[in-house]
Amino acid sequence: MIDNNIDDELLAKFFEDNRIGDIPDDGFSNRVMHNLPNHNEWINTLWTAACAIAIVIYFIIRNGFDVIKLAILNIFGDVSGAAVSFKFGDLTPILIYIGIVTVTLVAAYNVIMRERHIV
Amino acid sequence: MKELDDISLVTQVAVFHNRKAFDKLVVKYQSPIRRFFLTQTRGDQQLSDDLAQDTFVKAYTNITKFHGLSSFSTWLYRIAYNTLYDYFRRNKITDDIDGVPAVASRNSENGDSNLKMDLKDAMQILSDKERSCVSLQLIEGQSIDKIAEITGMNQGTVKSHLSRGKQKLTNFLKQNGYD
Repeated sequence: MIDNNIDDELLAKFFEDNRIGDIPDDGFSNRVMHNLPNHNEWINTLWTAACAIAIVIYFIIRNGFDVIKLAILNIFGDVSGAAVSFKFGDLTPILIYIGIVTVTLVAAYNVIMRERHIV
Repeated sequence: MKELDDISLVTQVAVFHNRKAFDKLVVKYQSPIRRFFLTQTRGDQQLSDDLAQDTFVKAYTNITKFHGLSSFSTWLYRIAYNTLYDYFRRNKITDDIDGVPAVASRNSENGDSNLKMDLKDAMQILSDKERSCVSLQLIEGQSIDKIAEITGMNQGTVKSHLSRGKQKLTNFLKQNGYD
């Protein structure tokens, strides 16, 4: 079919002359967000809370504190044993621990500040 | 890159229920969606905003149904198109016998300055489907295959509506001295 009655240039000019352009938001997106249903979030929050409670109960039943204490003591013992096998001159293991903790805190601080700048 | 940004935001909404991510999508697409409804409702801003809001709410509640087979904008336009025709069906709005849609005369009192008179008058002479196809192509810049995806019509039908719509518009413009 030959569309010889269609003037594409005329139509293009007409729509360009009558271009609507971008419509300013004027609070439209806020109204949309306000009207979004919340039931998904409620279920999500409930599920998260239920899982958290279940984890806490399981932790208490399985004597979680004793397990953590034992793990820390084992790690402390292993690190102490490794530390005394090296000669650090006047450095004692406690100073080495303080050094490790300090470096870790400084690194964590730098990461947090970097994330804050990004956000 | 644009599509990757949309998919990233959609993923955050679908998986983490991140409302801030959805807010970004709303801010990004509110203008083209509202503009689409303005041309379909002959400049009725209140109705356009209501329909646009319905569109975004439906997009949010059905976000997990977006599978990335098309772009997010195409999927959103499809929801908008269906929302429009659901409104027409609910309100029993049909084309008049001579092809002039009843919604045009019904809403003429609510006409809005965002839609200039010439464009209103021109779009009024088209049928609903012609108006949808013509506005998606000539105002929103969508390709024929995208229009077919949005409207659910096959490409041949889209081309027919575009051809008839453009012929009517060309005649209208020439008859009204626009050349």
